[in-house]
Amino acid sequence: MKEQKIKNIFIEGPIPPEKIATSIANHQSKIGIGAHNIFLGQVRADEIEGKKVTAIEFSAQQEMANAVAHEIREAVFEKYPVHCMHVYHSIGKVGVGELCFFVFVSSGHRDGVFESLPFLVNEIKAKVPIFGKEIFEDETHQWKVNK
Amino acid sequence: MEITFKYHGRFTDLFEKKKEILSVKSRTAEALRKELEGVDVRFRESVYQLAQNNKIITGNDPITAAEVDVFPPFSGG
Repeated sequence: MKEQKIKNIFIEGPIPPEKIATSIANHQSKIGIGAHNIFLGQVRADEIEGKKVTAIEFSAQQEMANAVAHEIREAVFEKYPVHCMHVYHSIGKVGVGELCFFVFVSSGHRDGVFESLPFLVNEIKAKVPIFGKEIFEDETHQWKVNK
Repeated sequence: MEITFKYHGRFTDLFEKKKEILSVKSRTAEALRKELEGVDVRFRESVYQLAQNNKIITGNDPITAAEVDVFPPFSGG
């Protein structure tokens, strides 16, 4: 198992698309990698009881979130032949159409990334203490519930 | 003993605060849940988890920390 330090998964505000491109480019020197897989979460303009969501404001128990994300990352390294992985989540306000969640796994072969990515994404959503507040056009809000 | 309860997500609206100090008698996670639900309908009518020292606590897990997080269901991603 690859031992890794606890990383800060949080990025203030939306995740810039350029970060995804840069992350891919940063792996060009890791020539044992033969496959990448990426999940991007984007804020959706849901309509709830006639009101449109314009943004989600994310809050978290950040210290625990980073610790749990670290445990999940270690579990993925144990379970799948993954060379490296990166997890980023927004904190604060993210407008509709902007990115709030970026998960990136790399492996020698496609099976490693096809199998590990859904596990990693689902574990993060289920176990990491992050909370989304959906902001409507009229500045009212409701707390997001994951499906 | 006195515990600082730190509220997250919808609980910050429900309790209209981010944290409060409560005096409790319970020494385990399950006993604490029952105690909280016995004194406050908002706990009784909500789905929530408790955590201390960055770990979810359940059942007979002992309460050892001075701060306990109160989490509604997570909704990241």
